[in-house]
Amino acid sequence: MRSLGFRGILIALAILGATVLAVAVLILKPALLAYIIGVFTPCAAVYIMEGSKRRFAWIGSAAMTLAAAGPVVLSGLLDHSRFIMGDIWAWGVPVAAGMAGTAVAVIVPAIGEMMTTREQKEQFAILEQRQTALIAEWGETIKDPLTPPG
Amino acid sequence: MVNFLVQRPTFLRAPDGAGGGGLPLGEHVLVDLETPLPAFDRPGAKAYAAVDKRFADTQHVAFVCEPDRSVRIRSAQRLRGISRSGMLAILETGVLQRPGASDAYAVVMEKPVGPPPPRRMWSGWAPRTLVQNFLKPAALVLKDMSDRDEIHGSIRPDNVFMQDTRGQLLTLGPCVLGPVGYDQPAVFEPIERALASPDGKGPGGILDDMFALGMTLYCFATGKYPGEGQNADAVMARRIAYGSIGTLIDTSQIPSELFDPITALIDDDLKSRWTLATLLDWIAGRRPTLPTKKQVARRGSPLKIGSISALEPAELAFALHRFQKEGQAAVTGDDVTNWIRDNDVQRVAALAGEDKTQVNAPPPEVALARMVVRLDPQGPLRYRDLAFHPGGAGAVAHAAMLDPGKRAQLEEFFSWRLAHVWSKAANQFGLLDEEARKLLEVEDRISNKVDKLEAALYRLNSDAPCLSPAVQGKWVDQPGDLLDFIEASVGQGKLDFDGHVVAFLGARSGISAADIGSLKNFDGKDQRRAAAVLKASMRFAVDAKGKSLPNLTRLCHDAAKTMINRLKKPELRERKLAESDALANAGDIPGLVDLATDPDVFGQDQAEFTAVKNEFDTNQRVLDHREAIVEATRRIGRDKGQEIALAVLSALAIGTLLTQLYFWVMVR
Repeated sequence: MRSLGFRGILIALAILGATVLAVAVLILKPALLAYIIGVFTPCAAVYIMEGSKRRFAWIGSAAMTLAAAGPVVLSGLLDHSRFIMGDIWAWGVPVAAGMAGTAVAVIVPAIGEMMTTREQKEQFAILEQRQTALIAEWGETIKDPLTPPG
Repeated sequence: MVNFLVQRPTFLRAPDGAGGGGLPLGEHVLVDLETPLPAFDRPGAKAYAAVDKRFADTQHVAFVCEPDRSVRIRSAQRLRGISRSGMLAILETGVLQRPGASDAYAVVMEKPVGPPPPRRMWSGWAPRTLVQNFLKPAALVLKDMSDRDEIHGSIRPDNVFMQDTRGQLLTLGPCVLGPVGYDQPAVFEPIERALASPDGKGPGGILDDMFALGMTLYCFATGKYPGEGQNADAVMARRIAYGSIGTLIDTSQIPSELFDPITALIDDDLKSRWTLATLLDWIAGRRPTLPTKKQVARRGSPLKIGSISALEPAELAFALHRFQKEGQAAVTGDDVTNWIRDNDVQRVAALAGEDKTQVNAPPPEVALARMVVRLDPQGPLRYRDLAFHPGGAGAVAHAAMLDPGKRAQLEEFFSWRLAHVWSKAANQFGLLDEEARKLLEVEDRISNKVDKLEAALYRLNSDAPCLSPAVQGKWVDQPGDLLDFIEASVGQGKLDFDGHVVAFLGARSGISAADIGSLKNFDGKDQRRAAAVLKASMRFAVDAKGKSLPNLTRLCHDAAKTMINRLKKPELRERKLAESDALANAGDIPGLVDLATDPDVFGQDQAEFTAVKNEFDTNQRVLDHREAIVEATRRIGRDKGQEIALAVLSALAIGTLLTQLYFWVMVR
């Protein structure tokens, strides 16, 4: 629940930020829409690649892209002299941030999954060793169903 | 299984003069079977010369008893050591192993100077002589016996011996050569005991000795024999009706000095009959209270059965049993019923009413027996030829084992549960003592087919030797005496013990028939039978008193291994099996039994196993579902990773946002 809540807040903030940016762009400088669509295209690709049920990597991608692209768009709106569409940093940094976000969203859960699985398998191995030891100590009868004494 | 009815034991009686001189008895006594002493023969026991090796010049007499009657073995052992002039001292008792003949039980006693005083000598003693040389010594001996919880039970003129050549000193003869009162004529027994058959009188009490002593004193004082020349049935009937004093003795003949003790000792009323203490008081010169003379109240209408006209229930009971043909007709007809109604014997009428509720009428002899015990519950239990008190049932069972006719009657007695019929009537008189309860218990077990008739013998008669043909003439009265036979049977795998062996072991060793059956049927696997084998083996081992029993040890070892194999822990099991091997090699049956039945070891093993088994099962359930658990764990790990990733992303996003804003501001 806690992760979902946290995720929900992030999604809400992203949607809110994106909406504010989109509205501002539409009103003030519609030409920037091409930039926004352009920098968010990798996010869409991640969304599509991730599948319909799993929605985590794109969140990382979108959040990081938004965080990097948001100030660029803002500067584009406020600084009329800046030509964002031709600025390599304006493109490079959000796309790189989106890729980094994707990487974090993919790698960290995979590491968590791998570690807990390995830990569980180690516990199974210990259990198997214990079972083997119990059979060695008490014989095969320990596998038989328990019968009342006498 | 040997059927006793088919194969009766054969007792090999010693041929006259056989056996050679000097058979050992105990450590010091030699019994010379070549020197019979016929003057001292007793009913059921022949007398032979015996000598104590330590004092070769002293002469003793050995009374040799065959196993066909119950010898008072335990009484004999308890009475050893009494040395008084009033009774022949018992020097040695024990089993006499006779070559070429079956074992016999011998009681070696002090040899009397002369035989019992002949009839012509009776009445020849002065009263003071009788008191000082017979009554006082006899009373002191009875006191010693009473202190050992024993009675004499055979006080009568022909069992009193002369201890000097002039016949002035008298001493009581042997008393342990048969059941108490076995050889006593009826006139020397109180009425209730006189009604019983010789073997069925029961152990009796000191007051019965008082009666016999009084009657013997009467004989010696007057020269008369009680009831002499009269019909025995008539005498008995008159005793019941008018009392022993009125029937048996001529009070006018009694010397005045002895009138009080004689009449007080043969009083039929137990409450007023002189006790031993009272007699000793009288001998000491005091004058105890004499029983008051009771008026005999004769009432009601007589019922004539045979030659007896009965007026009282006890008389009628005697008459019905004595004249059984007429008695059966009277019981199955209305005569007895009418008599009970006319004489208003409510007690009997109430009990007889129970029979009317039964659908099938019992045979006439059973109906007669029921009526007899109800009419006279204080008398013996009577059925056909049987007449015994509960305490005498053991001796009767002994006789029944040797007499097929009597055996059949005793079996019928138990199958008709006549002792229980008696108990209902006897309960009103407070007659259900320990012996009665034992008889009822035995009757229950036999009538319910739990035990065979042999059980009655060994459970009710602690002196009876084992009568199994398997003992081959050996005198076996201790379970330990059977061990050679048991050991050989186990060795040969022939464990079909006959009813006598089973009943004997059940009564004397506490080994149940089921346990003995387990010895036979033990297959080395069944744990219940193994437990029974161990239980029986332990009993045998106790009886063996350290004697080596290799075959039984082997059987016990097998049973112990079966029990030890129940242990769950292999290491513990192997250790205990090794210990059992060591104990078996040492022939230590008690050790094997202890090892195989140690509740601590088995309890702890079972408890540990249960705990370990629970752990194992829990672990196994986990391992059986490992794929699902791994999958669930993987999801949990991923969720955790996502949570961490979100936190990292949040930090990175904020950092990126702030960095971008910084650069934008700086550029501007």
